[in-house]
Amino acid sequence: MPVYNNKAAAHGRKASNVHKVPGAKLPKAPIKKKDEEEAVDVPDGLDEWSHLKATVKPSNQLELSEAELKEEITRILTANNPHAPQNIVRYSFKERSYKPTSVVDHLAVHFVLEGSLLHKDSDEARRLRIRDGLPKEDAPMENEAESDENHIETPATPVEDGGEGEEAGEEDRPDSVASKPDKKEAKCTNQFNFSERASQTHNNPSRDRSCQTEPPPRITFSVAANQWEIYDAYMEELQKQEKNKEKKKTTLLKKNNKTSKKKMTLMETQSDNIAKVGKVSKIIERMINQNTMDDIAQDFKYYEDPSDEYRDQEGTLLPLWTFQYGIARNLSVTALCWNNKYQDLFAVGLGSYNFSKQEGGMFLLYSLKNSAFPECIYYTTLGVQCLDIHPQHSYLVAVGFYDGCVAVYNLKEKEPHPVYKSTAKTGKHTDPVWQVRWQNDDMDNHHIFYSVSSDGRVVSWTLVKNELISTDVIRLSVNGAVTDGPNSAQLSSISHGTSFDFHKQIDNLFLVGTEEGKIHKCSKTYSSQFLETYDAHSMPVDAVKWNHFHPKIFISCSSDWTVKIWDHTISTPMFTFDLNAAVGDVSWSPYSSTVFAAVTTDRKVHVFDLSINKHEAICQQTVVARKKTRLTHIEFNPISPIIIVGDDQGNVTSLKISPNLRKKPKSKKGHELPKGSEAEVAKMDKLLSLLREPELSTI
Amino acid sequence: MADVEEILKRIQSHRGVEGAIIATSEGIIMRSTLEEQITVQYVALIQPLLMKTKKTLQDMDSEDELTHLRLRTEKNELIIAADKDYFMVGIHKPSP
Repeated sequence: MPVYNNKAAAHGRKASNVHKVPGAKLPKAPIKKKDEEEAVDVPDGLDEWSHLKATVKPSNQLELSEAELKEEITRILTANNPHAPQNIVRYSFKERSYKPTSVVDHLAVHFVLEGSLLHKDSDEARRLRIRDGLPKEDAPMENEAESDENHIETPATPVEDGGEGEEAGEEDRPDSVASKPDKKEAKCTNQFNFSERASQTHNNPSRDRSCQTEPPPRITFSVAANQWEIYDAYMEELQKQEKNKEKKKTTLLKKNNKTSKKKMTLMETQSDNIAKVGKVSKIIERMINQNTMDDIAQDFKYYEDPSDEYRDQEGTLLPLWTFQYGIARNLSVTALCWNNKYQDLFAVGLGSYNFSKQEGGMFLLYSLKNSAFPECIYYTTLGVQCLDIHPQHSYLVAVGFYDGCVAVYNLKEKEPHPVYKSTAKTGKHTDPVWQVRWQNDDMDNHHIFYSVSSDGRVVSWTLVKNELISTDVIRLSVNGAVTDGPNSAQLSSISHGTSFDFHKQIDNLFLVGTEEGKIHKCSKTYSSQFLETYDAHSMPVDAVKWNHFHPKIFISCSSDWTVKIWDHTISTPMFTFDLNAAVGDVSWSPYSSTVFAAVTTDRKVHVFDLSINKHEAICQQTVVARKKTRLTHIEFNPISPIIIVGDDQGNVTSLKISPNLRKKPKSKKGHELPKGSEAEVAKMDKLLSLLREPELSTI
Repeated sequence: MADVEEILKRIQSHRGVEGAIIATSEGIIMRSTLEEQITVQYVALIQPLLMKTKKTLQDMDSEDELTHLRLRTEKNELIIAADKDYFMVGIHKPSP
């Protein structure tokens, strides 16, 4: 075998050599030789080989040593396809890598010829025979390949309802068969006997099922981040850090405290903490009130009675809010006082003027912003007779009671009790206190107030720490000041003081009105005697008031139906007005030195302006509807053109003063408008001088 | 605390007031005189409005503060007063 192989190899090689080098050294003859060689290949191989043993070596022949030449090279014939790829690699998803396939198909197809022979008994043949209408059994019809295709197709088409499909197919076929005989030579449209099979499946009707749930509650959380937010956040962080530092320092000591604090905070959180809403709810209440009484609020601010232009000199009072507190219906308003600091706030003292009926009292603080309900309510066991709000410290309220006690309330504190209260020991009055007034602080910066009472004493009270210290300023008596003699039986009757007022500019000077109808001018420093006495009225002097501007003028009113204006240097009144009813109260206006108002028991308010009309009121108006009410007090608001009037039903009515009543002195052309108080003083002076001139002239 | 309850009662009984709601500034309802659904709606809508208003004012003038907000509509008036932690809404139908 090896020999044969070698021979074959050699021969192959030679042949190849010859093939490779056609235009070689060998002449044409060798070509013929080659042919000859090929023709007589096998038998002459040996000879040929020996013949040509040592001849040609082509240039590119591999140089091998003899040993190598003799080396036996095994050549194996296998059935493997040499062209088949041996290193097919497939990607394995399982192992996620390329893996070589071991099995490779070695089938090499050299030649394919598809035949067109049909077995005569096969379906195809039968069909073709029928188509051609030939009785031949062997009908060499066309492409068997087509039958292949058909067979491939039929299993491919999904046939669920076989019957349907079959029918369709058969329908096709009869059609094609029927057409075929007719158009034997015509074009076969279905030459492949193609029949489509389809089937309609029964589709289940689809139904949507859905379920809607309630969406989870959502809160949109949004924060506008501006620089303030960032700053606040940083500050909070800082504070927290500082707190942490503090905590570290004092953890041990504060253990007990912490537990108690925790309890406290628990308690707070349990209760609804609605108390914090207090401020907000007040605002709301005010706003609602403002809404309901919008007209009144508008009037208060803006309404000026237009009819004043036509009414030559008279004015009107426009009623605004009415302040009522249900429980206070039985009580009469005994005192009114505006707050200096908050000009919409005023205090109302409620008590009773009836000697027999003393039912307790109260004092209320109202704000104009909320007329439906008082801001503060203080109940007292005794009827309040008078009150005064401190001009500078507007949270201090001095109250005088029916039994002679005086008390001071601090409005800042929430307790309903007075801060200070006088008792019998500390020298309270023995009779109702008719008036209290705050004065300037004394040398030690203690607050002082004065009170006057029917027991004939004017007492000054000093607030020292927790106590009220009383000092008798003066004792009123019928004949003059009483001096305490050691033995003298003091039969001199005591005059009962009913009202007093302190001079605005001169601190020491004050006036006291008495039940006898006399007015005494006194001084704080000079306690044993009056400076002067005026025989003012025939009945108790209900009110005595200094003029706000003019230093010499004061006014007094009494139940004897008269109102009198005095110059304190002159012992007779400058003006006297008869009002036809007992006058409850009189008050100067804060904006003009010649305007004052008085209230009478016949429900009227009388407003006078001396610069306009010296003899009559420029306004007389019934203020309250119910016939039995009597007006008890009147006060002007320091800033707004409003007056409040109290009556004996516990109501306070607020009224707006029309422009005619608030006239200011007209300036002459070319002159500047003089400043307020000076102008007022000048006005008054002019009046007085007018008064006096006729007197002088008569004399 | 009793004062606040009293005030709330008075507000509620005031002529023309349809309801009053108190809620915290985060929107937790504390008191209401209306029924729950309406209350929830009001609070959910007003609370962001209040926040926005406060921020607006703060941006415009840093020292200024919102005291109250009035929303006058055709049918009624919403009065909203806000505190740092709480706010209160009053629904008022003022007489024409």
